[in-house]
Amino acid sequence: MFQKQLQIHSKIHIFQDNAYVMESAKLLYAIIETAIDGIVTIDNRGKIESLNPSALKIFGYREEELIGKNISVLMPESDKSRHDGYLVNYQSTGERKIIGKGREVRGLRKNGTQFPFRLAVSEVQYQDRVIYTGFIHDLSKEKEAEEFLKKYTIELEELVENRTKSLKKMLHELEEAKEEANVSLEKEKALNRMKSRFVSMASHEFRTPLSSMQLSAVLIEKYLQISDNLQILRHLRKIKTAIGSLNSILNDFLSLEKLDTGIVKPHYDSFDIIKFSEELTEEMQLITKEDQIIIYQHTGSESEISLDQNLLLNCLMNLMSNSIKYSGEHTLIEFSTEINEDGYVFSVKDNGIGIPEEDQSGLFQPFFRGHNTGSIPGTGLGLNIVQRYVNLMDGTIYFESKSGKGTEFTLSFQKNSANNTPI
Amino acid sequence: MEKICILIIEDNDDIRESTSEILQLASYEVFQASNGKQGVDLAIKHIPDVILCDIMMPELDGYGVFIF
Repeated sequence: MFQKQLQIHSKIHIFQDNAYVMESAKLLYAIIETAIDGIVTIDNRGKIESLNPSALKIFGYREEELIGKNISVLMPESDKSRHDGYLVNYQSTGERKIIGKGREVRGLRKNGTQFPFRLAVSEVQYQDRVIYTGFIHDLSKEKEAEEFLKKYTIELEELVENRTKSLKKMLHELEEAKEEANVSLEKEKALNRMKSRFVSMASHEFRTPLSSMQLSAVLIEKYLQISDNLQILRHLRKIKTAIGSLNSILNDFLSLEKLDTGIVKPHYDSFDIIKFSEELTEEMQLITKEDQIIIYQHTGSESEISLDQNLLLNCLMNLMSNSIKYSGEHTLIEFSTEINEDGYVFSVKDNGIGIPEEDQSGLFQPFFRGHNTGSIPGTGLGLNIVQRYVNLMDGTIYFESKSGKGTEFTLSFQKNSANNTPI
Repeated sequence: MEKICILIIEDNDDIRESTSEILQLASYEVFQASNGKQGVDLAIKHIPDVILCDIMMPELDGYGVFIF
């Protein structure tokens, strides 16, 4: 009785157990069938045994198309060949590549497109054999978002880079503009300095002859009243002299203007330098101060040179009249010419007031005058003109000077310069 | 009546001579100096009533003369 009871009891139990198992299986089945992730099982040789609807949907197959096929049909070409190797490798060495870990791989849909998914594989010991279960989590959306983010980041980076580039360019342009502004500021400053030198020169150099003329005119009026013709003539001569000096200032301006507009062109001709220099020395001797003597000497066996006679005359007259102007009475002015293998050298040397060192660098600027010139008349244009004439004839000008001791100017020209320049 | 004495210190010959001629014709006694140094010497020697002095001059300029 008890035995029977027990049997019944255990039957009930088994039944109850069976019912429980059935319930569990149903539940599991439902879970698997409705899972969003795909689930695939394969045997130990890689043959597909079952798939859930999600897996079919993800890969785009119908169930009967896949069951019994090797899992590699769901893999892109690059992974296919390796898969069997993985399985064999795992089964022989126990080394795990995916199993129990899961990783990101690519899948091949029926329509040939590929997609990324996360694959987690687990090994199931079921009855007497091994099966593998793969959980497939489609990452297309995530990847798309990631790609989009990446693309967006790249775009942003590009934008930033472009902006940086344009900023850098702008900065560069700004710096250039600053440089340009600096250059023009310097030019403006130089021009201003020249202007103020001009004003100070003009006020002195124009005013002196004008005052002289005005005084003489007043005196002529007075002498007219007493009919002193001698005195009247004397003052008329003074007026003429003053007009002459104004004229020469204006001539300097004119030379400068001609140089600036490029009208002045050297015209080369051959002439005898000794004869030329002797005549010039004689002429200059007429306007020297008391007991100022000009000595001329020539070095070299030749005396024929080829230069622009007028321009050279202008240069030498300028240098010699400077020597006369800036040295005292009872002094020597040495004028020398030389023809050597390389070319022609002219020099004018005096023992005058010299050029202070601080003034030497600006000496050739227009309207520039040394600080020690005091009330000695001058426009500050002479040397500027000389330098430009010398340059026109492809020559160089050079000077050596010591304040209070004297100055020597040297002009040198190459012999062949005349041949190279068309007349 | 003694003549009024004027000293002209001016380095430009023409201007100095013409100015003194005008003043002489107007009956002033005139002394001439062509630079500041000479001017100071003459001023000490003759004690002029009026000194006409240029400023930009060699040797000793107008300001220098004034300090003397």
